[in-house]
Amino acid sequence: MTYLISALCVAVAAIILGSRVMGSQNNVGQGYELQVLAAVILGGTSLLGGSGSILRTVLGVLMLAFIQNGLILMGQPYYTQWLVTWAVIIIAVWLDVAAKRGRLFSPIA
Amino acid sequence: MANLTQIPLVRWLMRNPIWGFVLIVFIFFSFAADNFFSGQNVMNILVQTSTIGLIALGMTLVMINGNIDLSVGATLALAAAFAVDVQSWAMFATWGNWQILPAVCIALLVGILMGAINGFIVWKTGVDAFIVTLGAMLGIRGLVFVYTGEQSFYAMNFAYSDFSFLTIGPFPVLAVIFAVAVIAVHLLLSRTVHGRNTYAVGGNREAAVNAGIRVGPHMMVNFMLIGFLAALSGVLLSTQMGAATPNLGRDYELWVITAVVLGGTKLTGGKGDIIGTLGGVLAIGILRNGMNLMQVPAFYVLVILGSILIAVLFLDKRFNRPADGGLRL
Repeated sequence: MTYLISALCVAVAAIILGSRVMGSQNNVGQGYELQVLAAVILGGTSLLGGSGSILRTVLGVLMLAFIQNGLILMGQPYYTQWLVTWAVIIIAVWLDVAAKRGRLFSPIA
Repeated sequence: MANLTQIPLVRWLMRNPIWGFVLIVFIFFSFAADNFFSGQNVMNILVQTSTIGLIALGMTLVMINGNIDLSVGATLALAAAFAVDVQSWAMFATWGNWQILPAVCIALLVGILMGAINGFIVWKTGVDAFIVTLGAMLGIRGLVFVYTGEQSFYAMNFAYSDFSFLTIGPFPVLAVIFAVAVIAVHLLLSRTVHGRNTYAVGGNREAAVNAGIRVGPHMMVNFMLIGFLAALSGVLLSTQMGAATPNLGRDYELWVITAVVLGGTKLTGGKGDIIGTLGGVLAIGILRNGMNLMQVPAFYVLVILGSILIAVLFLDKRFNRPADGGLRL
């Protein structure tokens, strides 16, 4: 059931994207999996399941979109946003994990 | 059935079912595809699988640790870009063919450095390796584009692009390098303290910490190893093409993980070996090569490989009892 809903969302996204670029190729959406995952994780959803909410995911999507849009408006080439996303994902998840365990660095020796 | 299981070969195949699968597809394509069953083609398969195979060796270590590395494709592209570009730096202009040496060394160091960054972040922050390397996959690909400026590099030194055509006796040099790496990593995993610790950390991280294994540095070493192997694979791939493109190695992480999982390594860690991984890599290599020779279109090959992976995982779950770790018939 969850996968059905996910697939329905993909189909809706595909129709929107198709109407925006007025056409389609067979490799449209390659690499989207990662951006989507990044946004969901930024929204605080646990990869192991059991926590997360749609509102937070929307915030995650918006945050990534702000970064991408802002960097392009600043005149940076499009691949700078990948570098920034790298840092943002790791720092965001790090702070989340650190807050849960109550200390900044991992206790593993 | 009872006396069949006494035969050593059958028992071995029951412990490593992927090799049975390799045998079946090999025999199938020998009959189904013309030109498949020849020494030349077997060498071709070995050369084609060496790229993914080298990374899969490192991925086996990382996955037995209970981690995963999604950034290998980007690391491969970065190393290939360095290997091809450094040769044409002005400071090495008078070195003749020796300019390849610093280029390859720098490329391999870059790979190790990328692995070290990943491993260090996993160690110090305690963030899941999936997320760390997912970010690195985007970020390192960004580094590739920054470094190359969206251009492809071409090797000006023809000794570099001729390297992949060299042979040692009847064997192509790329296949020999792959074979040496397989033996080296197999010995590392089965004969050394580091290898035993790899299983310990993946089996039960808490227990490994309590047993006095320095888990963080240990995982970092494994990430550096996979970075090195990905860079080596990138160098070898760029010798085959005589060029490095910024989109090189895209989706390789998925092929590698597929091969390693086919070889029986558990995604949750603690279980797996190099013999299985070699089987998984060869299975994918033979399937791709054989279907190419049968002129199956490339997109059907993807569908078939995906179905096989799901089928294997299903059968594995169905037949593999955790207690004895063997195939139940």
